[in-house]
Amino acid sequence: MNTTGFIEKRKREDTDFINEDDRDKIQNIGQHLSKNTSFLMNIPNEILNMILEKLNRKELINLSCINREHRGLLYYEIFKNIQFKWKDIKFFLENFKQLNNVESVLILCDLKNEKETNHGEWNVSFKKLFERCLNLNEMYIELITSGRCLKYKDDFDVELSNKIIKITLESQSHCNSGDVNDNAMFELTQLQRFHKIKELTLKRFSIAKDIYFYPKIKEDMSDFEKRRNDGKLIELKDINLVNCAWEYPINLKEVFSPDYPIPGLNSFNVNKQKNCKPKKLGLYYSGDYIKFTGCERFKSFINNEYNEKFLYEIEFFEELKELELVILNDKNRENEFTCYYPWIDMINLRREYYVEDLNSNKFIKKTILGNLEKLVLVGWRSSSIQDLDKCFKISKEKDEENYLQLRHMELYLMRNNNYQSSNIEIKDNELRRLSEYKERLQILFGNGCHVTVGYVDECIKDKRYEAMFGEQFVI
Amino acid sequence: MTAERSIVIITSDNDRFNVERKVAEKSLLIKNMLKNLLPADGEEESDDEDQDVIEVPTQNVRSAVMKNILEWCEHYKNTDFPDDDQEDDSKKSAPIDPWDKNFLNVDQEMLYEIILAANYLNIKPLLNAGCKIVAEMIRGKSPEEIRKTFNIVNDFTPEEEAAIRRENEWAEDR
Repeated sequence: MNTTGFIEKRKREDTDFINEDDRDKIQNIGQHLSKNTSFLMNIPNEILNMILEKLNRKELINLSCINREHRGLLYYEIFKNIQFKWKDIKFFLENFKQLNNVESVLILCDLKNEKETNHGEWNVSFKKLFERCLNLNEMYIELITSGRCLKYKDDFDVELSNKIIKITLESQSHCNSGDVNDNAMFELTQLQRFHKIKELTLKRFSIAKDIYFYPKIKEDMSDFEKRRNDGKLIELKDINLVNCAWEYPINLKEVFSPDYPIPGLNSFNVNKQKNCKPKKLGLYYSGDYIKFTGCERFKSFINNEYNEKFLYEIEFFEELKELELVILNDKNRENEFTCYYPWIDMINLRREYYVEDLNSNKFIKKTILGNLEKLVLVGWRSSSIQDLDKCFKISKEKDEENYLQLRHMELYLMRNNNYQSSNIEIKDNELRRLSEYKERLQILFGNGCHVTVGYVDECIKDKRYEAMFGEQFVI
Repeated sequence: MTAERSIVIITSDNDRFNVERKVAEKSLLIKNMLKNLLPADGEEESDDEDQDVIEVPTQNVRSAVMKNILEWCEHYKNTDFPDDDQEDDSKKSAPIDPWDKNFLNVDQEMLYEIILAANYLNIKPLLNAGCKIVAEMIRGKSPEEIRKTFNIVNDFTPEEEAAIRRENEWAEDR
């Protein structure tokens, strides 16, 4: 949490709201503390910020409840992030006094009252929320039905919604079973009025392309510049897919970087379609969803050789610098090994493609792996250390121009190629295996790359992916 | 080559503490001051060689507090802490060192003054430990328990408290 500086402008100098009786009751902690206020109110702002940074939101909320002074001090920090249920949006907007203070909202499904939640999803417009919360820039939206409902009430236009730069959508559909689910469908056009999103996280969605969509441009083309970006997120740089599946023949390029029909008028330079080229892509799977990693659809994503349409998708991967592929079982108990964990030698991102260098007019050879700066792999099986060569070996001598750029590599393996409870201590031979893998990766990626190798147990223990997986990830 | 000159720290109440250079240098403020006044061996000598005592005035720290600060510096005199601000997050969020925890087991006035002095003298590890102790005094406590800890009077009316409870439901707590 970043609290730096939030205290400065908020700290109230007057203590008039403390009445005389109370003043007497408040005891002086010491000669250097002023008479009326507490320890915390006397500490210089920069130190107070250091203390508050160490507290979580619940603790800050409790601290804000102790008296008026502390309420005033912490109010703006606490009410930067707001949460409410679908049915309460109107009530919130009418009753909350400091709407300009709101920077992020979390809109919750009430699973005990699905009818009202459902009604909210399909009938609530965000127009007033955008109009009145001027500093809003982040949304976390839970949905029972598909994300389609988001576009049915988009009675606002980009002038209002372009302030949103980060969106997370989480499906609470009961029908999710680890593969494509019609009740949790996501298509980019559902966010057609959000042109400025930089970071998108989808949880438990079936992602697809809206094949019927085209931008609704006026005949005189007066709104062409605005409408040409509908249904696209050209500024999207960070994509996280948590327990998401897609159907054949859909691929990630078509979902996040779709082309739509546009008017064929040459004077408007319409042929140059801008599209999203992410810098970071993360795919995370847990529980039943892990079986998707065994499907051909997933394999053709992690293995370019398998992918028939590789050359047609490559534009989408051109600027990809960071790739994270995480598979973590939530049934982390003994005798519950029912999951498929993929083998690391499935990964092959070394397929070559050529791009034209505009300066020299020459074609340059590239690979997705060669472009990456950061690669994180969690929950993969490996039968032998040769797997690493198979996945990552690019000889520098033979292939100077396409040599690896990787600066950061994390690999967390399954133990014994099978799942074992994390309570079993790691044995000496297992530790040796880790250092062998680390050594080999260091040779493959060079000394300029920071390599970490461990077992998945570590990632489960320190709960580093808990926030990503959320409540479904029960350890 | 002159003999090692002694360092004397003078507190706000004019107490004088003779300290080893290594101990005094736990404070980056003093360390930087000494760098100019008292070059390390082998470096160029400063001009005023006739002065064999270096006096370091610390106007913001009183004697009782300085005594504690120097006890901390003495304990850690052989420990290297990274000088820069870029201390990584893992260290910041690590639990308090048991020795520090015991050392900072003082009344709130003293804790307050130690924190302020650590800030003024630029002793980051001590400042950080002090902040952690204060955070622990708040952690996991109800508003009533926090009031007790810091001796704070609840000045909300019952109506205001009810309004606060309602309002808090809007504050995201995850």
